[in-house]
Amino acid sequence: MTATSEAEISEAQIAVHWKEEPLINPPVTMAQHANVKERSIYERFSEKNFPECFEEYADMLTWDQRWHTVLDTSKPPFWKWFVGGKLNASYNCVDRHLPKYRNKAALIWVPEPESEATQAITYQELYRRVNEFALVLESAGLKAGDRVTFHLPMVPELPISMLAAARLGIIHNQVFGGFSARACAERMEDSKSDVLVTVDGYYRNGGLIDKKKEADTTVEEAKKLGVEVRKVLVWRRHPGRYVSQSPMVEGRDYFVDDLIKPFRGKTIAPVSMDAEAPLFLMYTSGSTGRPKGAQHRTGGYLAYVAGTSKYVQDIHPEDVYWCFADIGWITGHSYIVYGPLAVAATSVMYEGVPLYPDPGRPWRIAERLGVNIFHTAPTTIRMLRKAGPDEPSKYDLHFKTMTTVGEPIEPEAWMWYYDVVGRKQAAITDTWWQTENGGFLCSTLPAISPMKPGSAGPGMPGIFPIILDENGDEVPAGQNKAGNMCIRNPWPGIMQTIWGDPERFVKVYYSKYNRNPDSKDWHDWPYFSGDGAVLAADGYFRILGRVDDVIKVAGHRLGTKELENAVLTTPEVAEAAAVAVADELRGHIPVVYVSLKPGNSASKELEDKIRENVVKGLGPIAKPRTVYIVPDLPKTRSGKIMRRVLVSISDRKDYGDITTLANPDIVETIRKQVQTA
Amino acid sequence: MTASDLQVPLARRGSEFTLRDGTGVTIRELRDGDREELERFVEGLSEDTVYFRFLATGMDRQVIVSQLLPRPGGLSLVAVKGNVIVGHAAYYKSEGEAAEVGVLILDGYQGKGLGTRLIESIARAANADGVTMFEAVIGWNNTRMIKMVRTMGFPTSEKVEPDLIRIRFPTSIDPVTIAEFQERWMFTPGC
Repeated sequence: MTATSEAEISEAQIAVHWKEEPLINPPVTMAQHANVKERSIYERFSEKNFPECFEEYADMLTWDQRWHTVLDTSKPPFWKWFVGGKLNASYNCVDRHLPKYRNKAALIWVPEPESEATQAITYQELYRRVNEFALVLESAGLKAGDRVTFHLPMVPELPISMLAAARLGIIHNQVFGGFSARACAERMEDSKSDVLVTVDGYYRNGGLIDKKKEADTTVEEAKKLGVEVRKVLVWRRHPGRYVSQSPMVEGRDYFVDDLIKPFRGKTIAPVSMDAEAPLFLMYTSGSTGRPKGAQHRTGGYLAYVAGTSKYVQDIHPEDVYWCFADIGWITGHSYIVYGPLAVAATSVMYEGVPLYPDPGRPWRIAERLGVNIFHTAPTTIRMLRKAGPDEPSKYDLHFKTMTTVGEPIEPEAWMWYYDVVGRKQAAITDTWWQTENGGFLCSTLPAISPMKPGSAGPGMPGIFPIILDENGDEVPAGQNKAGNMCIRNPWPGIMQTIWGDPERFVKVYYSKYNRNPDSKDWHDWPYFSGDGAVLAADGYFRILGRVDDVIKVAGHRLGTKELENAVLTTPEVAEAAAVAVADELRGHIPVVYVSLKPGNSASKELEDKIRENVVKGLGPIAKPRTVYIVPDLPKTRSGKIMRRVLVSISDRKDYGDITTLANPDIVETIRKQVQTA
Repeated sequence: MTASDLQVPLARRGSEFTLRDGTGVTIRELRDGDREELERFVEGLSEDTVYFRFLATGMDRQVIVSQLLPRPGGLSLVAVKGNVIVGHAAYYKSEGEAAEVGVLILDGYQGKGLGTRLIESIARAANADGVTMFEAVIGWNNTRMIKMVRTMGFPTSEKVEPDLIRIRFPTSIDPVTIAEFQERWMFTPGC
């Protein structure tokens, strides 16, 4: 039986065709003070030392009881790390730093209004506030293993709430602030969570957003899904004031500052959790109609983010570290809260948007606080570069390392980041990883590896990536051939499972390349990431973007099915196809094609209605740039929708062979409509 | 497995098969009188199964039924257990092209070898009908179907596109058909 295959990676997938960039070396002086000074780390973490090499990360934490087994592979692919170990994440991020660092800022919070004072929260104060809120959660009837949902923006109460939940082993589920009330309700339903923590309001782009009113909608939406939200805990953005327009509902809504009064000054012992106890859920979009809850474990996850924070970003306690991202997605969990605090960093948090009130704002923050380690997303870099290319040079900035994360960054933006922001003095680490992974999977190490603009770098120590083609064969390096980015081995930061859906966990991440489901050998279980990549001869990976039906908008994942389902809530719509088109700032943005049920006609109002339904269903981040109402969607003779034809039309590229379509004439009709609009 | 083996066209007389779990099904041509059963079959399909078959979200069930009804230039088979339709397969001809084949099976009947049986049956019928080449268009993450088509026993040629895989295979394994497949139908670089 012969099978031949030709991998045809379309130009829509390779966002920018760039040539292999030359390598740039980090400053020679970096190695003197870096946490990783030599390349011997790769030897320590080589495959022959796997999995014991990861004890180096676990040893950065304080354990109540040491593990007896580093990695248990008896039930693949449900790996277990540091089995037998017991610890508490809150203790590791707060309590244990008190003897040496009680005076040191754990978090420095910068409110969006520039007139409002910065809040420096020391480890001592963090200790008090985490304990008090933990007692509030306990009094709300929550205990270890229960889920609590947060729909909080970038306010200090968010990390406080996370650490309070972690203190008691309560599994937290933070919903990104930009996701809609309905999206929050769906996550509450899926995680079976009936307590919601929110804030009355917060600032975004100069305006005050009413978050409590949104919480009311969340409760209504949750009810439609069969969830009775029994408590809504409301933090107040301004102490003593209530900035929301919506009334507090008696018996359901409570001000946290009221509930906390009896617990002022009181503490509760951190609960000693199994290393394998779930720490939190983070929902992420995939190929299904609803986002799935990536469930992260306590011990392995915390060890992994601590180790990678230390080694990739080179965080020392005396550094000022700013991850300019949102805690609502995994970058913030791992690299604003858990990773940095585990290693006693000072972690800066900013409430607002990059360009408020002007493009100099982030640089003013960095200058004022003496930020020397910066970490942000390409979308933010592009935005700042576009709005204020010369801004950074107006400020006294001294970055040591600068990390980028979330999507591939094109060399032009990378060079600006390096030249103008970093003054050619900083080492850039272009990292690749995903919600499911817990922490960085590919990156250079700042002091010891040359940087290559546009490439993430080699696998992290202890991570063995491989690019596989559709047959499961390795795509060789140095041939500019793309394939599916996979990781051969388990690592401590990997998610445990999909909450409530272990079968789908296996199906989505492992069934593609696992040939023997009965094998207990981890070599037979390569992890399928869903991202495409190319491997250069020098061992550096260049990530190309999703190979599946997920659109990355400003680094955020949106499933095409979720988008389509939201569009289909419009009664006039018969069929919908959501495709990704390239966007200058956001990387990609959704564009939607719909056909209508008989008796309905296209109109601007209908387009707007469809757009609104997407925002209502998912959130403003999912808003399609354009909605095209067309007579029919291109289909094969057996009735399958051909999305690639729509992508080609949107990208103004050649749509290839359409002779086998059932309705080839529709392609020209759509093309005219789209390209002459 | 050639046309000359058959005395009565397979599709019309129906064939009985035993699935991997011992269930007995009959595969026969879809008839006009099957409409009601077909509607019941479509009602029983999960969202995922519908998505894999049509690469469409939230399809209206009546629209699916009309897609599955017999059409000129093609043949539709159903797998039945008693009177209940549990699977459907069809091919759709196009002048000078490989015929596109599509399979749809109730969730509870998946993973038991029914897909293979349906494709073998419809390949036999197609071959008798003069159609020598099939093309399956499979969603990138429909791992199960991809594996099934690759391991059925026909030689295959694949083309990977951003969101799907096209797999071509001959409708028979006789030497003449295979030679034609290799000469004319295999995907070539750049096509």
